[in-house]
Amino acid sequence: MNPRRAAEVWNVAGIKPYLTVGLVALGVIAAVLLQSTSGIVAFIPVVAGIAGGLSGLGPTLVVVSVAVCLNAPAFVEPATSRRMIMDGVLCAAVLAYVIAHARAQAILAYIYPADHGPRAVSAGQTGLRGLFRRSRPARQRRSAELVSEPEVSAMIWSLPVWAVLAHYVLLAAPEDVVVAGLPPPFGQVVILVWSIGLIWYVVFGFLAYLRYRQMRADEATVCLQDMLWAETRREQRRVNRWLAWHRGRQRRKEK
Amino acid sequence: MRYWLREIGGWLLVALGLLAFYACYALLLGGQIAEAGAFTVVGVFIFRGGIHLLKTAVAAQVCMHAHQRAEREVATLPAGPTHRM
Repeated sequence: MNPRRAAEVWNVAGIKPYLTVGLVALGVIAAVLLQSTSGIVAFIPVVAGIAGGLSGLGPTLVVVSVAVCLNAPAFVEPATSRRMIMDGVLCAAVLAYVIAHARAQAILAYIYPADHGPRAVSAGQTGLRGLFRRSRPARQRRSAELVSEPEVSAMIWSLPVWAVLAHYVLLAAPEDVVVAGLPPPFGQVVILVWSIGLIWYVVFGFLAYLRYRQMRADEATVCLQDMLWAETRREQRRVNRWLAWHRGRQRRKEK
Repeated sequence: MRYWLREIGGWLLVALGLLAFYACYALLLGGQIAEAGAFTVVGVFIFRGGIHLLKTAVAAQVCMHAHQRAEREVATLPAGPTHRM
């Protein structure tokens, strides 16, 4: 990113709180990692966070680099209460960076994932070029004026809650499980990922059910018609083919 | 009544799907990852089937209610001469 672009981004109203939170979070991540690993390694997440800051890759790069740093320590600290607090602070800092990045992206780039829409050929472009080129995605930014102080402070004050919750979830996961011959920490990760995935799936299922309960009559009609079509389309096609054949035969006889 | 049977069937399938997910968790605790994977697929299909049945029941319920409401509104209209355009 060139300095001019950086200055433009900084001058966008409403972006400053989130950029500040993101930079402070990167600083806290480096400070915590310095307690358990060497100096150069501890600054990898900072570099990753700044480099990927204005693209969608920022959070992924930070999370992966923090995971790498935690698994390649210069010295391993025993599980003391101080280490637990440091882990909590690290967890909150990573979460702060991810939230700040997502909200800054909503103001600078787009609030919802890009909708690519129909192919460009339907928008008037003809030929081979139009067939393979998609139209420009419709992107909507969040208005920077909507960023309020209570929103930022609520985000910051909720961070310890999520860190403590994550800590208790980790404590609840069984520690001495051997999955596919892997050592126990990997088994714990497999169980956590699996459980979170299934809970996510079930929650989405129930949310979908609640959404169906809000259906209007016309939506419900289309839904039922869609189901009827999905279940009887072959029979409908066969019946209509015979009907068309019969009508054609009748017409020929009349002539 | 037609949609109530579907609603009950849907909830039964959802409960069965949740049971399958719990079985996955129990198998994972025993370190049986392959069996847990197979049970996850089974659970996903059963749970999704249950939600689909619930969706059908809710859509039928909404349509029936709309139909009944329309019939009631027609019945309450004042009887009189109709004008042809």
